[in-house]
Amino acid sequence: MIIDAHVHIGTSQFLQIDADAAQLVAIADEVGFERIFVTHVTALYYAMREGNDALGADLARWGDRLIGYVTIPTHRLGQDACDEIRRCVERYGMRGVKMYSHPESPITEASATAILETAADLKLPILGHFTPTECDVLMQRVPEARILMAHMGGQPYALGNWHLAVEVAERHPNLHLDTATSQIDNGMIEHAVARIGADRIVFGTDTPLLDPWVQKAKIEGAAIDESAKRLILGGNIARLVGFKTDAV
Amino acid sequence: MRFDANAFFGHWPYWPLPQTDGQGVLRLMDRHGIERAAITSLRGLHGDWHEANAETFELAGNHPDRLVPIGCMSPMREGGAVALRRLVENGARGVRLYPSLLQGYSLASPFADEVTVSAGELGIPVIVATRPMMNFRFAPLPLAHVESLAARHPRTTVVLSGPNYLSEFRAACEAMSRCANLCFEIACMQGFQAVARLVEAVGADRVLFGTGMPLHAPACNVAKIDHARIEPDQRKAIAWDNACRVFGVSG
Repeated sequence: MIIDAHVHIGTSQFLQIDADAAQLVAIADEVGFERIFVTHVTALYYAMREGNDALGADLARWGDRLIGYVTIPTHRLGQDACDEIRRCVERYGMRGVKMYSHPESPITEASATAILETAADLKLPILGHFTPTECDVLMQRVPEARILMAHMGGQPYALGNWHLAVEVAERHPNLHLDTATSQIDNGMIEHAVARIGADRIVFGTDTPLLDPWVQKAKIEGAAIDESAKRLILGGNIARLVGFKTDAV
Repeated sequence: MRFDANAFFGHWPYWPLPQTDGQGVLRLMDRHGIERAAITSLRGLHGDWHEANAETFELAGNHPDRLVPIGCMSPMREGGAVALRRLVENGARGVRLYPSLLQGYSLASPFADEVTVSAGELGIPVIVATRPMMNFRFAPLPLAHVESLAARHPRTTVVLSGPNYLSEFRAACEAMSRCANLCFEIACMQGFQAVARLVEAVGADRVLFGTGMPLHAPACNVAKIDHARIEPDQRKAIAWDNACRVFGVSG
């Protein structure tokens, strides 16, 4: 089973994307993804609760294919963000948290800690749009949080440092690396598997921003063994959220 | 059949590469079903371009059925029309320019004009990368500089390499609508179904398959072409025919 752990739904001028659930499921069918984890761009770039509610409505219809991330656009929402996580889990059955940050509003500000603790308390993985250095700080503060470093170090601005991402992940056993990135460097996946093992690398595509075929080829074309590919392509995220798959 | 219009060998100063020599690149080509590649020594981006071209000719000469030599040069150490003619006499089927950040000159310089005019007379393309690889970490070359070069020299084929982001993609499509001599090599392009959108915007005849190996993982760009929502004849043109035409080699 291939599971895409990084997909966006909705309309965003900033990202220049416009995709509804039916379109994303059609893409998933075409590429061969059984389940996709989605975050709503209205929550990401405009109004948190409005976007999460829109995703909740999509989950009601497409719950067999879509899995919801509670989207937290900024840690500066503080307690409201913690409450939103609990609300979306209880009301919509969302299975993870997507946290966004910009270099201009660093996620290492103190208010992020309670949000990470809330997710950890609920055993939700956190897809964090954080730099490797930020992840290093956050994992020291909340080591029980299971963070997926979005873009595998390719943040900010997709000019990546996956070497540093891997180095930081070596220090923190609950830190995972999300492979959704415009970095398609030769040897990147192989290096990560060799240094931290295949079981902390999580496949994502950033659809519909990036091309899912290209992102899938990055894993399938890597010089790693087949069991490692199965873990990366679905087994690991399934384990993190408690799904049963043959790759776990 | 796949003809990679954007391949290299050699070293990358920012991190170690899994493959650095010609044999390693040939193994990558075999593994990913790439029959032919237009190849350049990475030494030419950073060091002595004369030595880089000698390495490229030696490697391509040992594998003439697989590797097409692409030269490189800069104003340093007497780059220009005379040197370009010698490169073509030695078998080069194109020349790469890396102005601005990497080699410290402008595409508006007399050197760039001289080389581009000469390339047109010699029937080879000038290849200009706005970024040599996606994960370049430095500011890209403004696409307008490449368009300006192509517009000043309409008899020379200019291959644009490196654009990715939507603003770059749109600017490239607009530039190609204005400059019929401008081609697009896809190795850095990452957008959703970007090849199909590019073909829709500018047609298939000026789009070139390229991987950027061994800097990039070639599987990604193979997948980009294989799964693009385009017609079979368009896929064949991008994957093979256009490169044969642009580099002037038989199919």
